[in-house]
Amino acid sequence: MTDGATDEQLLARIVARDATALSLLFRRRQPDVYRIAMLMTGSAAAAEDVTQDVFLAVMHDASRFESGRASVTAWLCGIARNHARRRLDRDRRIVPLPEPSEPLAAEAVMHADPLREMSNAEQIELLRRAVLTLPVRYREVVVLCDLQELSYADAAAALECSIGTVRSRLHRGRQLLTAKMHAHDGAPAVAAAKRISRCLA
Amino acid sequence: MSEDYQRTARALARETEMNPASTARIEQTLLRAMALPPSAGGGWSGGRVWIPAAAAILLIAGALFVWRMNRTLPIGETRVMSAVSKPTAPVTRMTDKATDQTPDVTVTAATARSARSIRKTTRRATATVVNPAGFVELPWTVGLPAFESGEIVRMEVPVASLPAYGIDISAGANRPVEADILIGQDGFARAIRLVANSARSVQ
Repeated sequence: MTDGATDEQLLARIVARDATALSLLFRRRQPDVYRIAMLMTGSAAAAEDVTQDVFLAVMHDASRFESGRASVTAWLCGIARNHARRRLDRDRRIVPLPEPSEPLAAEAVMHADPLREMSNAEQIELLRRAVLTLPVRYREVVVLCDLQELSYADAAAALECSIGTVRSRLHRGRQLLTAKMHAHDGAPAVAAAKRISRCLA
Repeated sequence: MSEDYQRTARALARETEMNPASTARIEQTLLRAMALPPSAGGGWSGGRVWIPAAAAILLIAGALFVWRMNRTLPIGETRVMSAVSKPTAPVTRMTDKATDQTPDVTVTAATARSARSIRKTTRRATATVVNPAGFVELPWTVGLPAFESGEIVRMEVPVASLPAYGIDISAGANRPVEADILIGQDGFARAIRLVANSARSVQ
């Protein structure tokens, strides 16, 4: 199913109850929405619920999109952020169990440079956990700007705040991330060394 | 930020993706929802439920405010009602311009009924009463709203209580005297006037 229509055109068709347009927009933009939801909530199930809610909201409120104000991506990211925050508020009393680590060993032996790949995987996991422990106001900016790679203007539109606020929160969020990752440098390094030694044995 | 961080962040973003089964399931859900007829315009969508809720809260708060305002009784009212005794005059309609503050003053049956409910006092005394011209404003009416219209209730008042209303009496007076109590539009007593021939009417 390919269609050269822009996001704005797809939204206009969704307003007219075009199911194909909804399907196209979903396939095109669900990775962005899911990524935000996943990195905001830290739960795959919650992220899937949020993704579905976001596109249901798009289906009902597509006519509320203002093309001059922000891009469709930024608009979707804003909706995703709002739904994710709502979900976080709802699940505040639920303490998630730590998810099991990915089976890194099997992948590692397939790479040409297993040591480097293992290190990268550790870094990614470390970053993911650090992002999830950030306060929500900093987490959402880091997710939108550094992981989703939105411009400051789009992030500001998604968060409904000024660009200056985005900049300052991003700066503070990165500082917190750096501190968290440095604080964990010792423990993951030991764990990684053990895994690597097992892989190479 | 360091290149290391950017590279790791991009890698994290790349590997954060929904599994294909969930993607297909959600897409099917969306398409089914799209196939449903749009809801009738009369209902409230989920995001706007707060509008009728806020309106209801405002309405209730307003009603409570009005109710409380109507129930508030100043201290002066209580003191007047406990000091005066039973009414003695029949219900008569009259217009009285005795003071500057008393336009269209009337005595009504409702006032007489409320006056009858006032607690009786039993003190009796010989009447030597000062007869001030016109109404004397009660000392505790300072904080009340301006007098606009009202009613006059004639009743017996213990002489001993008159100094509390700001009326001087001669020593030894202890009989009840007839007095007109001016009651404002809000039901609060504003002023008192002794009846001119009350000394003759009291036994």
